[in-house]
Amino acid sequence: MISNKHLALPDHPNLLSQYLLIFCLMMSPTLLAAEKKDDFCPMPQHDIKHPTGFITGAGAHFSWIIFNSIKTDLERVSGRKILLYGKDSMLGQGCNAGIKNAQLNGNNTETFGFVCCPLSKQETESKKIKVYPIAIEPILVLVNQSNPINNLSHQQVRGIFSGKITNWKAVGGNDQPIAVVTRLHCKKRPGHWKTILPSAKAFRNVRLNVSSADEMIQRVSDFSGAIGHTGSTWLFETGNKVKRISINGKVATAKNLKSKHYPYYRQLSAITDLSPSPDVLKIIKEVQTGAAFFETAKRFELLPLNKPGSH
Amino acid sequence: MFWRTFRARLFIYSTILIIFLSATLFYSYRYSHDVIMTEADNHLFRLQQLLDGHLAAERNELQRYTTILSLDLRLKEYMFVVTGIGGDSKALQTLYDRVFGWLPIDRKIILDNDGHILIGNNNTDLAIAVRNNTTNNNNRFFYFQGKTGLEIAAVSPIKYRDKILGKVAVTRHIDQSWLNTNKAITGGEFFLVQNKNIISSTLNSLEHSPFNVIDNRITVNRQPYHLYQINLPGKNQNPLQLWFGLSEVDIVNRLQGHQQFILILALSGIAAILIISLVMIRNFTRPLLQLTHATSEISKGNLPLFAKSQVHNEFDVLSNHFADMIHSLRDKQDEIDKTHAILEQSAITDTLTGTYNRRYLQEVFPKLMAQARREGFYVYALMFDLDHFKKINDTFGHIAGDQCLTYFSQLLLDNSRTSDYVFRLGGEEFLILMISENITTATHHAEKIRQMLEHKPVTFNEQTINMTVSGGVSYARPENSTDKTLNQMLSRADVALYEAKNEGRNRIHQSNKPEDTGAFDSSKKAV
Repeated sequence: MISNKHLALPDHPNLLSQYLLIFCLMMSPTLLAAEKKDDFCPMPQHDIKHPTGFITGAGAHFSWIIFNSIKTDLERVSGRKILLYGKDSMLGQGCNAGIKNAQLNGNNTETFGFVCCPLSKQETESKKIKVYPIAIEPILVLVNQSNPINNLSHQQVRGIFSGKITNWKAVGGNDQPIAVVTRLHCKKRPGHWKTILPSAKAFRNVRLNVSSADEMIQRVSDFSGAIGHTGSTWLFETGNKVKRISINGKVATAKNLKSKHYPYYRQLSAITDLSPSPDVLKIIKEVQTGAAFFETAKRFELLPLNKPGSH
Repeated sequence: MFWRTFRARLFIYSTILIIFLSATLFYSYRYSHDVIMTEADNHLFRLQQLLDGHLAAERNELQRYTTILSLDLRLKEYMFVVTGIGGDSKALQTLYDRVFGWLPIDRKIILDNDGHILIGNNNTDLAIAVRNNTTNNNNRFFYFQGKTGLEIAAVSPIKYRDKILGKVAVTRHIDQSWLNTNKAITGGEFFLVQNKNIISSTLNSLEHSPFNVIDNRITVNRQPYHLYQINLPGKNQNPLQLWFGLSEVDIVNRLQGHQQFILILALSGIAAILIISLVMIRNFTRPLLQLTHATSEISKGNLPLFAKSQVHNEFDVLSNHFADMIHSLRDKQDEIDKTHAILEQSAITDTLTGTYNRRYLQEVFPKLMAQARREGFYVYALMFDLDHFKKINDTFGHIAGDQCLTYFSQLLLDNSRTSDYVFRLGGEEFLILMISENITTATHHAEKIRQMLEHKPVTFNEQTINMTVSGGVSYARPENSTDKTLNQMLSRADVALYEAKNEGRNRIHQSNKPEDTGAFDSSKKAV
């Protein structure tokens, strides 16, 4: 979705890049084509600035939430100023952008990235990056606020997303067609939406596939019969007409994740190149084990993968 | 011949110029009506084109909006969900309001392939119009009469994954606001007509007035209008007509203004040419006339006054040269006159004594006779001859003799009236011709001369020369004048003189011839 807010971003002064971005966003719903390439929308790299003296972090929105919420502590620990990109992940600062930003670390820049997917060993080796797991984030299943359904079983969720169930009446709801909304990003990486169904082909063919979490929320808000998914760190807005439902009677909490009663999740990680600077490592360590991070994890029901002060 | 003069040619040329200019301006004045009417038609045609272009732009604008809608992938997705999954069509309305609510259109509708309204449930009339006017799935536009009046609509199909999901249509009202806007653009009037009645118009208070078009013209409020019907493609059972009109009053006002301008231009042009012609004739012909007059006077023997003027042009140079020439001629004429006077005087004057000579006697006698005839007097001849003049010459010499002749002639001149003529007839013989009323006066005058000479001797080289003179008096009657009268009168005077000589000289004798006696006073016949 194109909004005036995005067009007015001061970090995007270059018109060409804006037009490129707008074009990509316009084309984003062409999910079938987009599904074939991870980098359907090449990230405008120049949008991420690397001024001297700053440490720059970029990546997926959901990880950015963590870094940004404890940014003050990170700067205090590292003694460095930090620039973070990732709030508007739909503008290109996704997982791939996080990997690229980590690879930019060098003589004149100090960078790191953050992703919302667990990277495979093959990918980390080929891209010469190192992964620093931070937390497990529950994936929320969303329905329209007008939908009377508040809980689905894991099988029902799978049935709906796979297309075996096409009417809410089949799961105890109104006699209303189900509109499936998906965001099948990072298809080559394990985890995340694959905890719902293992592959894109397993999802219902007649569905809406969006390219950003923002669109996901919008679609589920617009269609009373819609169902979608997003990470728990998403910052919902007042106008969003969505609600999260429980799965098997379990809501998406860190506790249920830890007890494996809530089935949908993904791994949030930081990434660096193979020779990160000591300050970058301090930042990552603080993210993994700092007290501030644990406060944030509580707020978003994240399951930390490291113990406080474990590094 | 006047027509061959320079002035006449100037006059002819100016007249031809005036006629040509007048004809040109008259032609322009006369045919300006046709020109303006033609221009009015062209103006109407241009306005038609302007209006057609504006309508086309409006259609294209609406078509662009439907294209934007039909190509928007979000809308396609929503249409897909609604039509393919059976999702709530309110989501479509929500999306439209959120994303496309800014479109400057009046009404919109989205239909699925079955004609069901997905957006715009209140626009059933538009849905019917879309169904009636779209036979295929191409973009198109049409005009139709909706529930609120005439509207222009643009329609585009919505395709998703190579399937037609439905159609989107947007409209804009052809209402009073539209008419007023286009009036401001074109400057003409608009009439929305149904069943030959005006529904609305840019002219006030014409609703429900009849609209009878004759030869693409109509008279509204007693004002004629040139009309042009705007093509409104579209199927409609009760079609509305949209007419564009251009007031003939405006055209006529323009025509009158143009004709007045042409008239003023014509009159001004003629006046200007007249003034220029007059000035040109005056400037060119006045010096020519002056020169012509001067040469004419010169040819008559006169030398007119020809003042020099300040030099401004070639004519002034020529005139001044001519004035110089006249001035030189006048100087030469004065010299000639003076020389002529001297020669004339020499021809009739005795060089020694300054009296008239015999030659002048022949010339002046007829004049005296004519004068005497007019006055009723006689002409008297007083002939004198100095006594013993040879003796004076022999005694005192010729110079003294000449001195004596000069002295006597001066005596004669000094004692004669201005009307008398004194002649030296030769040697020491002199004659006075005078007009008098009687012989007494003449004889007394002769006697007076004789006495004065007798008592006033001549002094020459301190020597006193006493002289006397003898005289004879005769006269002639003017009424009996002939060519011989002078000789006869002189002959008689000479006879009387001879008698005075014979009687002892120093005396005056009257002629006693019968021709003279009648005129003599007998008591004073001899002195």
